[in-house]
Amino acid sequence: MQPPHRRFERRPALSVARLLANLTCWHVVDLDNGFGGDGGGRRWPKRVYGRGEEPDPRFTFANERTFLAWIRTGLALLATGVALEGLSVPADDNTRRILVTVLVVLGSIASGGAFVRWARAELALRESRPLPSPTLIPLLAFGLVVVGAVAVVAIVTT
Amino acid sequence: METPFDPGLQNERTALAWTRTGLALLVAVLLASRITVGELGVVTVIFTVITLPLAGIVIVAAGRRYRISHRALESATPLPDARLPAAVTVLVLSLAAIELIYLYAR
Repeated sequence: MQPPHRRFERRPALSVARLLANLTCWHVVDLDNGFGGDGGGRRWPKRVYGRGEEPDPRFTFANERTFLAWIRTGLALLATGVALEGLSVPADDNTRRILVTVLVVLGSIASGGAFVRWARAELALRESRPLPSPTLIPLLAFGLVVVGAVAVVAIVTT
Repeated sequence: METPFDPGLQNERTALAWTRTGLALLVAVLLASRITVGELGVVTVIFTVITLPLAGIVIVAAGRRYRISHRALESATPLPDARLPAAVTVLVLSLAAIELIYLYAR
């Protein structure tokens, strides 16, 4: 038997078409339950809400706030990139371009990963399983250490 | 007067988290537009026209989501779903995209 935590990964990736349809149509089609609502009982994404049972609402709220915290972390990483570029730190154009690119990629991982983490945690809550391990944390910590080290070396040597 | 659902004020704290995320998004969109418009021109205008209203909608939807959640808690119906979180994710990714475009266009 497949270990429980593997079941989620085997499911197909988020349907982009469906996401776009939801993003463009929700407030037109379903004003009362669409935007920010419960979709009239058809809650999206189905692969989260279609399984398990409703967890303690406090856990759902906490999961949502964690998602938002990761989103703001992603925004902060993007802002760091903007700051480096705007202040021309480090002075060398190529080093700076690489550093800013890494920061933007890290910011994208943080925000994209925020949603993936939210979905996995919500599903784990619904199925009364342990929460998924936080893959984002070591990744971002490592990335930031590298960016910081390169930035310091570049600033000191120029 | 309606009382909060739980002593931990989960819904209220979550609504505040949504609001500050929405504000951060609004500021980020405005800054990104201001910084990139000189270099990217029309691309920035398209970006701003799409993302600025979306960021505003996130703030409005934060309050809406609070009320829907409140009703859901009182009546034991399902809480709001993940479309607003998905929209916010797409918004941040589009900010990342315009930052990269700007970085390699100059």
